[in-house]
Amino acid sequence: MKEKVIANTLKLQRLGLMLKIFEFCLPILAVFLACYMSFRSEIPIPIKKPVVLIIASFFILIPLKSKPLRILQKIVAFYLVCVPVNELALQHFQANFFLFDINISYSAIVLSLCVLGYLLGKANSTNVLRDTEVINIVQGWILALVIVIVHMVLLSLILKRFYGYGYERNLNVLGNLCLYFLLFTVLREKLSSTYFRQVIVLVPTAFYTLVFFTNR
Amino acid sequence: MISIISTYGQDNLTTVSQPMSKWLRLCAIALTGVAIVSSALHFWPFDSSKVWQMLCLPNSAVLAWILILTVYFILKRGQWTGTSLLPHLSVFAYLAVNVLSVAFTADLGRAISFIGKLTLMLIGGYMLFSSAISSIKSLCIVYGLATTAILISVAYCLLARFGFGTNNFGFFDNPYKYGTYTGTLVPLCTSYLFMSSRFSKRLLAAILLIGTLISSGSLGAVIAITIGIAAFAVVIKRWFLRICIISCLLCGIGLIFLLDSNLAVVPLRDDIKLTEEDGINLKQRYIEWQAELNLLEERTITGTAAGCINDYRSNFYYRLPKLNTLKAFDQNGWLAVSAETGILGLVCFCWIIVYYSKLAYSQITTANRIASVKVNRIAVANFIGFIAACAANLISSVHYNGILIVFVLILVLISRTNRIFGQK
Repeated sequence: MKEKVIANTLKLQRLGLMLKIFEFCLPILAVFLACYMSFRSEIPIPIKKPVVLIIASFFILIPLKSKPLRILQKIVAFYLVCVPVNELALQHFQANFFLFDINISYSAIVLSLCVLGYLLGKANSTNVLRDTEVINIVQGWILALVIVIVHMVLLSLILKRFYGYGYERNLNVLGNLCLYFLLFTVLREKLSSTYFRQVIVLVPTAFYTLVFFTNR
Repeated sequence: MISIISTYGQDNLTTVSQPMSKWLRLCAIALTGVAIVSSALHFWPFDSSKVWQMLCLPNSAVLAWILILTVYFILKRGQWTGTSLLPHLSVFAYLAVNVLSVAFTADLGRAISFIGKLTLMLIGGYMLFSSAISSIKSLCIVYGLATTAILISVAYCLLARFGFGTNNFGFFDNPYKYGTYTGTLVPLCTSYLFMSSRFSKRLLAAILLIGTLISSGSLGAVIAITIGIAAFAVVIKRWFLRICIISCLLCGIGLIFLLDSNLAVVPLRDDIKLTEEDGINLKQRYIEWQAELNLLEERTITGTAAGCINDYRSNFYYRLPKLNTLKAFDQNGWLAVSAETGILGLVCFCWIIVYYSKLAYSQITTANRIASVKVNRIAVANFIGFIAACAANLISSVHYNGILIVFVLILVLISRTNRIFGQK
């Protein structure tokens, strides 16, 4: 009986450990894929001064004790991680599956890996949004989205009246913005960890260094 | 700077730090006076000189203050940190994203110049005004200086346009910059003056409000003033005052219509229209807004780089007509931020807005709770000025050199009012 309990406990511990590994590695894998695919597609949005991003990466690697500076590191890390994702903006994965045409944005594939990692982490965690500054940042996101949406609605009405076209891409824009908001939501907690932040930023740093040396 | 930043975020009320010396505070007040009052002159008399645009009186006052503060910090090292003078973290985050966006610029000089001016005012200007405002008396002095500045600006504009028949907007050569300047400061100052117990101050507020509306050359100014005054009417509880200010607003707008045929009002009349001069095409401004939204599809995070929107925006018109009739500085500040620094830049800017708006609103509720007339007056004026700045940002950006100073002033007024009332 005792042995059964111990065996079950060990099983659960192993499962928990695997979940944690996946939770940690999936976002890093997602960023790696984004960097790889961007490099392979010859970097659609040219990074004219990659040195700036490389220097910013060094800022992330410094272990800081001050809370405001750590929040600043989070924001910079999020930016550095999102740039390769942005490079995939207009690229899609296309395939034919029986009678269905599959057309998925590469950015969505990257996001789905991060979401999977987030959901695995949620199974183990009960963190609730409490930090005032993080609440303000999230409210900043919501305000930004509202501002963009209001502009879209106004412009759609005006352009429809004058030309009947010109506003077709607004939904794509909104989709892109929601993608990055979701990315922020799923990475927000993980980026609070100094270790995770440092590790995940190493991937785009290598990417920017490669861009610098290959002059792409 | 590093040691200042490393102590940033500590609880400043419990940090053992010497207060600023009296002579330094007087120096700050003097430089603040120079910066605020001379902001009315904009870049006059050397409008086209790039050097003067960088070293105009407000910018020079801020630069001088940075130098003085640096020397003071070195001399008082360990006794004084100055972190309480720094802006909120959101401002630093916004500047950080601006700096990161430089990675995507082809014109490094332009991006650095833009960020330099932004940093100068957002940090240097913020620290200058923070140093000057340490009590309710100094708050009132700053309000007096702001009122003086706006009176000079509006009075000269009215004289120039209706008296001399010139095309300029007083000391401003551009109606959009003038509109943002007055659209932000006028609601701030008039709400402060209207809440005075003296009839002469209320009369001055009424004259200022009506005069500014008549002198406006842009839709942005009218929108900002209307929204600011409407918000004021909602926030204050006295019906008599509400009726007075709404009447003044309607009087000003009515006079604009009455003076419709006057040459001085023509730019405003043209700016309000939805169409171009041909009467067929949509005004280029709105097509530009759509182009900036289209830009976000491709460059959602990277943007075009700070200050470099002109390099890319014409690529995103797609099927919409490019008429090349967009006037200088006719730029939606919200969309320009998102186009230049990406969605994260806009988020950080909105973070600034969220933080300071919460602070400003909490001051009004605190003032109502403690039932202090003076506190209520300042709190309401701060809040109204902030709303007006957000509205003015719609037609012409608050980020422009020479205009950013008023936005920073409002942030500091909110922040220092919070600090002063907190200590009381």
